[in-house]
This record gives sequence, structure tokens and C-alpha cells, in this order.
Amino acid sequence: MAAAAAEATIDGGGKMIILISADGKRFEVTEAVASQSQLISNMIEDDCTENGVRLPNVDGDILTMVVDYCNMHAGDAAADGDTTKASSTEELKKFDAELVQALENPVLFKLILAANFLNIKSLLDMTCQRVADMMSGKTPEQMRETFSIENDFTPEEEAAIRQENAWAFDD
Amino acid sequence: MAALPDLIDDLTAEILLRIPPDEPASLVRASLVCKPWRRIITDPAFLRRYRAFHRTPPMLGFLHNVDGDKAISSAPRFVPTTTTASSPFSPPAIGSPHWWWALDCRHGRVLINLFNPMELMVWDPITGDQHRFPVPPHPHAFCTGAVLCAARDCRHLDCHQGPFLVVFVGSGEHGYHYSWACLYSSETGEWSSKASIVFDSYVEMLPSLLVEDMLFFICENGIRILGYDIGSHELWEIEPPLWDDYQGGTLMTAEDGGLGFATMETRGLVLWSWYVDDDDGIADWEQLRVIKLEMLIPVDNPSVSLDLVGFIEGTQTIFVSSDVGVFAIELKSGQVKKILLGGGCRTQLEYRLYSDPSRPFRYASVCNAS
Repeated sequence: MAAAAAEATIDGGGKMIILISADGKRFEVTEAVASQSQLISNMIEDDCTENGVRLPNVDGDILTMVVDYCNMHAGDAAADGDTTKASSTEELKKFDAELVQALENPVLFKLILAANFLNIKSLLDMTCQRVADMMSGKTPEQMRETFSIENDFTPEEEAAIRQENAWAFDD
Repeated sequence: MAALPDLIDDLTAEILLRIPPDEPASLVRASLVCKPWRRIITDPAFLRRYRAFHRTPPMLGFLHNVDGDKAISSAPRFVPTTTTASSPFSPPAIGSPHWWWALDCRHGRVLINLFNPMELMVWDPITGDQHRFPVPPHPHAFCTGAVLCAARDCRHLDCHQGPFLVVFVGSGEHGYHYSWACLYSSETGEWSSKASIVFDSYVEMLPSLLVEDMLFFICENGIRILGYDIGSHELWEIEPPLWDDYQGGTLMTAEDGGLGFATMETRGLVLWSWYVDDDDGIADWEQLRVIKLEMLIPVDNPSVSLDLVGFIEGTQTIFVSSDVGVFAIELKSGQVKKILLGGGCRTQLEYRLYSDPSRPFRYASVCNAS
């Protein structure tokens, strides 16, 4: 967290704003970094970030990841900015892959909720794609297990759907 | 602790939207996980979004034309390329024993020429529906055809059960140097009158290229092109781009969406675009770029030349065969994929489609390669 804030200061990019997580953790970031969130970008435009931005839906540990992500991606958002400070495409890819690969499902889902609430399209894209990729090659039973979902079909309903789409269920 | 069911429906839809379409079974399996998922996945609005999100349907298989004398051989005629063991698609039920030839493939339908008795068939690979009708009653020694959706302003994502048009072109009977075309509408069930052109060449049984309201047909091993305007019911002739070391050519969509042509030359694969000068109205070919194939395609024997097999409409993919197999080159990305078919297949039609868990076998669009 501290590292993220420090990095943001070095990055420059004008005014700093404070983000406050649900559990009261404070993150200092530049406006350029925070504006990747459409929600915060709108608040900056409306001039209501003076006393810090409270994010009652986002826990500190999740906000740490979001801030890290935004710091890392501030380069591609800043149009024609100083490219020497922007991360290279490979670096970004590596960072993104490591960010989502390492996460346990519950954390990944919290990150999806945060990306959605803060309206950070690229982060929402990436996290949703990660979950979608986990479904590849799995049977319905395995998907339920992976995502802790209860089967609410009756055996008759399930059999009917299976029969209708028999080709998809041959293993 | 957040579990997937705690995500609001909108977010679950965002995730399901990203299930890769090249494994059609995955979406169907996901629809059996729980009722909320099934509701989302079978919602027509979601399926429209899914098709729009993934744009190009995944390649799920080929139709492989086989010469008449080998028609009853074991050569595969219908080759699924899905990586799952099972496929939702089965070969057309044509009856036995038949020599048939897939002429064209577009907008979710395949046009098949049946030779005995002489009739045409429009086949829907998903539903298995067949629509058979006689060829136009005009003499011809050579023929080809095209099939397309009849609806105007259609995005062709889900129109395969709607009305369609078929264009049938015949050439060169009794030494008369002319070609003709007739238009069939599934709504009237009738052929139009004949549009004719004096034309000292003949059409080949290769897939057509659709550019706006015009169809183009390759003639005589690629040395001529015949154009047909669907709106005005007129035929006209176009010379392909001239080149010295002719080794074959294929119609393709140019990068601007207009008529294009690809030629195989010693310097590589050359892409051309047909343009009409706004000032003087003169039309000609313009060379767009040259692709050095030796960097992309492996060959065992360098003295064996590469063959241009065809082009897939709508996807900017060119097929090239070498002595070690057939390769698909995606022109936009420069990616090359080996297609799992033996050598020597002259005509393939590729079908690309989405599966739809709300109805077992429904899909979006089909593209072709010759």
C-alpha cells in the first residue's frame, strides 16, 4: 500500500486524491491513476474528491490490488504522456497474468465486484475472462464444484436438457 | 465470502459472455449448472450479445469435396474440427450413393449440387433441414452457384432459417461462348429469367465471393472473373490482375471490404484490390502487398510449389497447400495454422458457427474457402 502510494507520487500526474476502503485504509494516488475508474473520474469532474473518496463496497486488501493495477496501467491510459515511465506491454501482460492467476476464487470474485463498482473496464474484462477460462473442458458438476453452486434442477429437468444436447455431454 | 452465486446477474452474464466460442460444448454445459445460469444463457438477448462480442464465429469444421471417381471412397466429406470428441454437427443426409459437390456456403447455409438426379440442395448444418429444387432448365457444360440470406440489412447472426437466394451460373454448352445466371428465391420457389453474357471462358465449381450486392465467380483456373449484380440481374466480366509468372489466383475480400484478388507468384503471395477512379470512372487492380510465404509455411521439398487453395469470406483467411499439408493464413494477424486435412484436397468449404443452448442446434453464420 505504502509502496503504491509512493510510486504514484513519483509518477507525478498532478493532484493527489485519497481513496478510503470499507475498513478505513487510506490510499493516496494521482488523479491520473484514479481516473481509470470511471466512477472516480466522474467524481473528479464534479469536484467532490476534496475530503477523500469513500468506497464502502471495497475492502482494503482488494483496494490494494486495484490501486496496484491502476498504477501499473496508468501509462496506457495517459495519452501521449511520458512513455519512459509507462510500463512496457510485456511487463503489463506479465503483471496482469500474475495478478489474476494467483487469486483464490473468493478473492477473484471480490475483485470482479470492485472492478464493476469502480467501473474499471479493463480490469473487469480481465477478471471475468479468467473465470470464463476456468470453465473450459469442465462438466456441469465440475463447474458447480469450482464455483460452489448448488444444483437447483430436478433430476427430470436435468435429464431433459442433457438429452436435448446429448452431443455436448459425451465425454 | 463472495461466491459466484453472490455476483449479481449482470456480472454472471459478463463472465458467461467470455466463454470461448471455439468449444461450443462449454456454453451448453454451463447452461446446466443452475437455473439462473440457464436463464441467462438461453436468453435471446444474451445470445445476440455473445455473437456480437465474439464477432467471428469459431471454425468448427469443413466440407470437403471429393472427385467423382472417389466419391464412394473413405475420404471424409464432413470434417469437424472441434477439439471435443463429440460434435453437434453431422454430415448431410443425402441418401446413397451420391456424388455431391458443395458449391457455396454462406449465412448459415450450404449449397450442394446433387448430380443424380440433377438438382440443388440448400442444407442447414445445424437443423439438418434440406431444401431441394431443380437446376434452371438451361443447357450448360460447366456450372457453379451461390447461396445467401434474402433479407436486406441483415447481420446474418441468426437468419439461417429465414428466406434465402440462390444464384446458379452455367457456361459453355454446344460451343456457344456465353454464360448465363438465374436467381432463385426460396419465398417464391421459382427461378428468374436468364441473364446472359458473351463470355469466352467457363465458371469453376468453386465458392463465390459476395461484395455488397454483387457476387463474383472464379473462371478457368483463375484467369477470368465473372461478376453478377443481384439487384440489376446482370453479368459482367473482369480480368484478374495481370502477372508474368502465373501460378493461380483466388478471389478475396480486399482490406477496404471491396473486391480483392490474391495471386501466387515467385515473389510470394500478392494481394490486390479492385478500385474505380472517382474522376474518370476507370477501374483497375491495385497491388496492396506481397507476403513472403517461405517465412510462414514449412515445406519438405522446396521445388514443390505452394498452391493457393482459397479464401474465407469475412475472416481474411487464405488457404495455401504445400507438400506437407494445407495451411490457413490469417492476413490480419499473420498467424498460420495447419489444417488437419491431408494434401490434395482442392475444394473445402469451411463452416463457422455458434451453438445455442436454448435450442439444440442453431447457429449464426457460415463462411467458405475453396
